Amino acid sequence: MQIATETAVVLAMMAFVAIIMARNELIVRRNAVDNAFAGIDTQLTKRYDLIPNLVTVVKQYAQHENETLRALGELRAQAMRSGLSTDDRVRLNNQIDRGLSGVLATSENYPQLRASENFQQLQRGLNEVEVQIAASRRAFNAAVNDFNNAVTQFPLSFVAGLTGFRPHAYFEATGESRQAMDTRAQLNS
Amino acid sequence: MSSQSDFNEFYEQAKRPIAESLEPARKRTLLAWYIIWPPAIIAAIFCFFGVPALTGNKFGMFAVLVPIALGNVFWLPIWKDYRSRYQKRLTAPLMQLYDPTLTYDPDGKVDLELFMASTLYANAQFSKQDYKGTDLVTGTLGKTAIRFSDLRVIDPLPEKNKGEVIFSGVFFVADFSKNFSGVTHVLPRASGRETSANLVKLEDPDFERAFVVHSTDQIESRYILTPALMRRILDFQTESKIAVSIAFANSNIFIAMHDAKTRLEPILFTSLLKPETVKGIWSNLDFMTGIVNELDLNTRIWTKQ
Repeated sequence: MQIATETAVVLAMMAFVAIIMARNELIVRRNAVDNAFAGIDTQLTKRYDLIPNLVTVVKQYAQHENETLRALGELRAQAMRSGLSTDDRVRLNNQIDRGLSGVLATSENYPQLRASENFQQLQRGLNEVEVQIAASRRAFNAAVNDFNNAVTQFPLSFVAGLTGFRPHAYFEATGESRQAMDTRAQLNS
Repeated sequence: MSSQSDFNEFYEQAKRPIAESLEPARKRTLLAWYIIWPPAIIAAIFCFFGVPALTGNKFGMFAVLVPIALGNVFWLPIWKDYRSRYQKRLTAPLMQLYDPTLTYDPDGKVDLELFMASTLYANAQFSKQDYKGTDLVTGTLGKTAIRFSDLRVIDPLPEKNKGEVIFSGVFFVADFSKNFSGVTHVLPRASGRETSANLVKLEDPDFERAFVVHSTDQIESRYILTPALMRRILDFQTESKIAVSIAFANSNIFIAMHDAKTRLEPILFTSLLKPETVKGIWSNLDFMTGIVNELDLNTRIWTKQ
């Protein structure tokens, strides 16, 4: 009887330790997802910082584009508001993508603007941020994939169910966003 | 970089000096090779087996060194003379026509510091004497500075009394189109090599089957290895059939092409009067410099210009 009790206690302790270890593993992977999302955030902030400079430079040479520039500024202000859901942020950033591509496409009509050193530097900066955003998004999705595999595969799925871990949504690049990047690359070539 | 018509033009200009000067020199050098080396090899075999048997001294086999040393004494001045003519009359003008920015140093090699900066062989133990190379080519193609040479790096492993080849092949270094501060390694999966950096899992299954990627920065590795670049690296390896290890460090790309050759060393056993012989050198130069286009290193639409 005593042996049975001792065995049960040992087994319970082993199960407890296993659950703790599994939970820690899930936390490590969830932290990796959070870190990767912070990477996207940093790059989006860099892009927000570039927009006012772009607006100022374009305004100097292309006064007929005030409406487009104003819309871009408003989108930036909306995207920078706190408390937005991830979906809203993705939607707003896709609109910013389109807005930026629109401004850069219009620059074709203003040779002086295209020749301006400030504009060229901004264009390079935007391209850089765009590639960094794409890289951050891919790193985020890889971390999410790793986390989701853990949450949905036994035995970690069992612990995930007990401790309330749920699969995370991927950050998909929309067709519009990819098209925006292509347009920009063409404009620079 | 030049085209097939440029090569034809070059060959038309070069074939007369080749026929008048270089080809006779090659034939003389080849004759010297036949006179020196077969007897030296026969003598070496005799020394290896015969001397210990005749003298009863097992250390007699070291007499093998005598004919080999003698062969080298006669052979090396002849070879150096031919090598110098070959470089002056064929390699240097060919390279100038191919791309005037390219310079060629037959006795040069990629600097040891640069080789180490790649961090591809950071854990390897070897001294400066074990780091050997020839045929250094440097230049700037478009916006991209390049340099490559043949290299042979050996770990002498004195405790095991035998050398282990750390790297043998062509080592290619180019200025990369983007700035970055971390280190990313792309290693052939078949090699089984590991580095201390973190494993990076990428989305391209074909690329993942061929290579394993380690990096100090997950995001930066993806900033460098865009889906387009991954595809280009894969195509490059498939088409060239050369196993490559790649490092991205200090905003440079380092490509270690295992068991490859620059093929800029003088040709001895094939007639230089055959256009295809000279075309071979041209094609190899095309292949090496073509890496810049293959990997799209001249596209500078980001902050690095």
